[in-house]
Amino acid sequence: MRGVERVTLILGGLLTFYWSLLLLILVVVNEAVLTLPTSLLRSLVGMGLYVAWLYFVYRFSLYIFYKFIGRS
Amino acid sequence: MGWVELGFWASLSFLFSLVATFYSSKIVMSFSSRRGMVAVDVHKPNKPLVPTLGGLAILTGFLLPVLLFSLSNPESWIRAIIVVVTALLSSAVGIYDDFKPLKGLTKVYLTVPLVLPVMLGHFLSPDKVVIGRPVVPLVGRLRLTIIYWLLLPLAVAGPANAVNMLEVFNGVMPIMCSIGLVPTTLTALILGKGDAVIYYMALLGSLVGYYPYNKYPSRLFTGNVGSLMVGSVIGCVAVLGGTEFVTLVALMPHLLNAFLVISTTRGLKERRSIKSRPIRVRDNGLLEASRDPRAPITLTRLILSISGPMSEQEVIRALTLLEVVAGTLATVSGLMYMLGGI
Repeated sequence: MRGVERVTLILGGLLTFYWSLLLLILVVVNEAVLTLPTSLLRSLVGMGLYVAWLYFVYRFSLYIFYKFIGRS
Repeated sequence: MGWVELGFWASLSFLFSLVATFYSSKIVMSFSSRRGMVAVDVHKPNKPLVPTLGGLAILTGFLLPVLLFSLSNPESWIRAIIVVVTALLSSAVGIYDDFKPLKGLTKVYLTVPLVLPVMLGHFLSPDKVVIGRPVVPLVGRLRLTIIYWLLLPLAVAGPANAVNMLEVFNGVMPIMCSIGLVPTTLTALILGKGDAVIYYMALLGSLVGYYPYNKYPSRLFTGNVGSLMVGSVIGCVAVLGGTEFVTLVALMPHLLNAFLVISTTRGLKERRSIKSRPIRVRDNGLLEASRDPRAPITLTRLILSISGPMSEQEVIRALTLLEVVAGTLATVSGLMYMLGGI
């Protein structure tokens, strides 16, 4: 496979994966977190999930990078 | 605003800004060449000098239709003023940076206050500048009473710096931002935010009019004046038009790049101050990822480590295709707004 197509497939797939995960978190927050009793608890758990998503994006992107830089 | 009126203003804004930017780019190019305002195209083996400050042409082409629209539609003048002030302030930061390079952190500090016109507009006229209830797909309007205001300072500074950080190859900024503006415009249309559609169309027209000068091989560089202004306007209109989520998705390649750079350089550093470059140019003109562990991880370095050495045009094509993926995801997100009952 040529370089550009390979990059689009891998990184495009990665972007789609991050996007899907974010939508999943939005649904979880709406369906489960917003039913929690206090506003503070809802904010903490909701923000915690978004921060966890952001941290996952960071770690997983680094993992992908080191996987390929090691090969090249 | 009715559909016919919106269609008229949107088309007029697009065409007006396209023509104005196209012709003002010629003037800026000749002015910058005569005054010696040039920058080195570092990704070419012969390192040519290219006139810079092309962002001034984008700014001119964008402001003209926005001001014309605000004069003809008095009910939207406050929102137009917010957009115009944000564009002018971000251009001022950018032009200062072009003449006297700012440190990375200083640039961020200077772009954070760019959200002040939006906040001020909301406090002065809360019925005309409605912010604070972002819309997300499937769910609808979010209840982020406190968190939204805590994150708001990043709404303009984030896109401004993210667009600025990925403006590294010929034509990448106008092409990627143009693709990103398609889903945001569509979403603003779905949400019935007529003036946001017009601002987006004016910016899109400007970028399309500017592209022939900036595309590979560039005859005119955008400079920080353009990239900061384009990113700021995207962020500002996203807040005013309630398209924050779609903008976030459309700018995913930019944000991923910014995130990787910031995390691997352990803070915000100006790209000119980073000693070890993330990519290097081979003698045959091909670009390759640096193997230096001290070099920052950027989206381009990631692309080159996946593909192996590529020409500059191939890297530009890869970035464009990535933005097409992000733009498609953003469009799907925008269409999903309707599922959330908006």
